[in-house]
Amino acid sequence: MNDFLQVLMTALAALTVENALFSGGIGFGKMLRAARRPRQIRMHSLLVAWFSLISILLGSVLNPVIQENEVLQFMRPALYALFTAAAYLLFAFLVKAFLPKFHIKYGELLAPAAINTVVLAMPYVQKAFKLSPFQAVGYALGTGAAFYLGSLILAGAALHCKDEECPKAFAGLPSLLIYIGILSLAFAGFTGAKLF
Amino acid sequence: MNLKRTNVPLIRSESTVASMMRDALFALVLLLVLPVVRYGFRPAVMAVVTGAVCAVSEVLFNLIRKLNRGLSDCSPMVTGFIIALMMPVNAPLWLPCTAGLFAILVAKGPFGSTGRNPFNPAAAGIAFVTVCWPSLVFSYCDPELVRNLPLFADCSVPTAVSPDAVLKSGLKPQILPFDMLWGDFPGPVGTTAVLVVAACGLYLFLKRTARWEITAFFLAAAAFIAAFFPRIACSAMTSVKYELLSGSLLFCSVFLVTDPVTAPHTTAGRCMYGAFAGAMVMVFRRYGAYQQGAVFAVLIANALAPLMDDLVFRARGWGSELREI
Amino acid sequence: MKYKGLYRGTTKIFVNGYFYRNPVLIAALGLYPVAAAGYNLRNAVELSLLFLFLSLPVGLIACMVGQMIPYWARPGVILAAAGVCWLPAAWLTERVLPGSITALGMFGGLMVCNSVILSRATEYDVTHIAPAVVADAVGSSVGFALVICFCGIVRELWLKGSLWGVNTGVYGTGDGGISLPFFGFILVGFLAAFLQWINRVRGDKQKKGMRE
Repeated sequence: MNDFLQVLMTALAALTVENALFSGGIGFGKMLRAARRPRQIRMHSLLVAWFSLISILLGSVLNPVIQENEVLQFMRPALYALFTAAAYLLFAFLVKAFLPKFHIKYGELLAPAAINTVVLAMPYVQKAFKLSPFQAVGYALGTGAAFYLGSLILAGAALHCKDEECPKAFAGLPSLLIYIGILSLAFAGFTGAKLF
Repeated sequence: MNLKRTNVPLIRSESTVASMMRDALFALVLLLVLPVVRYGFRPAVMAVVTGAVCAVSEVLFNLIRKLNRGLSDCSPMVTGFIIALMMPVNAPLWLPCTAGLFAILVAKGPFGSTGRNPFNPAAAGIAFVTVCWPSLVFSYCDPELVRNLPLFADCSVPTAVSPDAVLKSGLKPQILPFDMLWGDFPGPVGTTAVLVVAACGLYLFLKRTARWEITAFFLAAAAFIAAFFPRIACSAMTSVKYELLSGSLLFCSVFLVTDPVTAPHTTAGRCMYGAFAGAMVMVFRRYGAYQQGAVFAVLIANALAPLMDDLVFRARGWGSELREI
Repeated sequence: MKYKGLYRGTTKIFVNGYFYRNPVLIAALGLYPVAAAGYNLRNAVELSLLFLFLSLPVGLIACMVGQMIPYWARPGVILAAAGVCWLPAAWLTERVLPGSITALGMFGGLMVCNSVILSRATEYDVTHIAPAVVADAVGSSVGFALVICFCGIVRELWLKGSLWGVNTGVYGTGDGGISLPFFGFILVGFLAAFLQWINRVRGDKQKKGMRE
C-alpha cells in the first residue's frame, strides 16, 4: 500500500509541482509534434510514459555506478544516449517482429516517443530528486500524463492560433510559442524562480 | 403577393461587449472608493495610469496591424484596473504598468486582441510580475500606520504581514475572520474589502455580465478543500473563513475567472471550470512558491477550458474530434 | 560550372539553414536549450559551440552510412552516434571555454538528443551529399547560435545588467523569473513572428516580381 501511495504521490507531483515539461520547458517541441496528430496523442503519450519509465529505471541503476567514477561522470550524457538508443532499438525490433499490426499502425510514433529530451532527462531527474524505484515509476507515469495533457491542450491551441483574426506575423507557430510561454509561466507558480 | 422586408423576430440579448466591459469597469471603480478613503488618491492614480498604459499599448498594436479599432469596448481599461487593484498600494507605479504591458502585448495582442485571447490578460500580467518581482508584489503596507501616500512617487512605508502570508507559513492569522470583512488589513488594494467585492459580484451576476455558476463552483471547491484539508490547526469552518476571506481569492472568483472570453461556453463546462479553478487555487496556496496563487490557477484553468467544452460535447454525443493540422 | 552550381547550392542551403528556414524559429526544433538554458550569454555561446561540434560529425556519419540502415532503426543508430560524438564535442568545447561542460550540467548533456541535430541527421543528411550536409549543419548551427545568443543577451541584460558576467551599466531590474523557460518561449515566439513577417514580405516581393 505504501509503495502504491509513493507511486501515486510522485505521479501527482510530476503532473503539478515538479512538472518537468511545463515548469522545466522540457519536451515542448515533441508535444507540438504530437499535437499535430490529435488521434494519436493517446498512444504517443503512452509510449512516452513507457520509454520514460525505462529511462528512469536505467538511471536508477546507472547513476550510483557513474557517481563513483570521474571519467564516467564526464561520459554521463553519452552513456544515457547509448542505453536509450539500445532500449529503442530493442523495443522497435521486438514490436516489428512480434506485433506487425501494431508496428504498421504506430511504428512511426516509436522514434519520436523514445528519442526526445523528456526521456533523456529522466535519469537526470532521478539523480536530482534521489527517487526510489517506486517513486521513479510514479514520476515516469506522471510525466506521461503531463505529456498527454500538454499535447491535448496544444492541439486545441494550435487551431486557435491559426485563426484569421490572429495578426499575420503571429499566426501559427509564433503565437503558439507565446501560448506555451504563458502556460509555462502558470506552472512557474509552483517552482518560483528556481530553475528545474 | 406583396412581400414586406422586415427584421427576423429574434429576441436579442441587450448586452454587447462594450456594455459588459462598462459594467465591469463600474464595479472596479466602486472597489476603488474604500482604498481612496484610506490611502488618498494613489490607488486611483495607479488604476488610471495602468488603464491608460493598457489602452495606449492596445491602440499602438492595432495601429501597427493597420486595424481601425477604437477603444469603445473599454477592455484594456478593465484589464488595467484589475491589475492595479491586485497590486499593493505601495507598489512602484512601473510595476502595474509592466504587468499591463505584458497583458496587452503578450497575452492579448498576438492572439487577435479582444475576444480572441486564450488567457485572461490581467492574470497573465500579474503572474509575470509576481514571478519576476515577488518581493514587490507581496510587500503590503500596514493600513493602521499609513495614510495619504504620495500620488506618483515610490513609497517607503512600514510593511506588515498579510493574513495569507501567515497562512502560508502554517500559522493562524491574528485578525479574526469577522474583522476581515471590512478590509482593514494588509493586502492588495482592491481585494481586501470583501463585502464590496461580494456586492460587485452580485451586481455583475444580475447584469449577466458574469456567470454566477463559475463563481459558485469556484468558491464551493475552494471551501471544500479548505474544510477537509486545512492548512492550519483549526476547525473546518474557521479554515474556510480564513481561506475565502484572505488574499485575492474572492476578487479572482468575481473578476478573473468569470471572464467570458476565456471561460467555457457550456453551462456544465463552466461549472467544471469553476470547480477546477477553485481546487487549483488551493493547491497553489498549499504547494506553490508564492503566498497567492490565484492568477496561476486561473491561467491553467484557461488552458483547460476548451477541453472542458469538448468533454461536454462528447458527453452529449455531439462529437468534436480535433482535426489533424 | 559544376563547382559553381555546387557553391551556389551550398550557399543557399547555408543561408536557409541560419535564417530563412531557421530550425528554431520555423520548425520549433531545439526549443529546450534556448528556452531553459539560454538565460545568459555565456551559456548561449557554450551551447552553440557544443551544437556545432556535435552536428557536423553526426551529420556526416548519417550522410555516409544512413542509407545502409533500415528506416525503423535509423533514429536509434543516429542517437547512438550522437552519444559517441558527444564526447569529442564536449572535450572540444571544454578546450575552447574551460569549465563550460561542468557549468552547463544537464543542459549540456541533453544536447545529445537535440531535435535539430537528430531530425536533420535522420531526414536530411541521409539523402544529401556531403557538401550540402556540411552547409546545412553549419547553417543550422549559426541559426541556433543567433537565436540562443539573442535570447541570452536580452535575458542577462534584464536580469543582471551584465553581458558575459561583465557589468554594462544597464540596471538589471529582473528577479530570477527572467531566467525561467517561460520567458525564453515568449522571446522565441516574438523572434519567430519577426521572421515570419520577413518571409511574408519576401514572398510578396517575389510574387510581384514574377507578375511583372
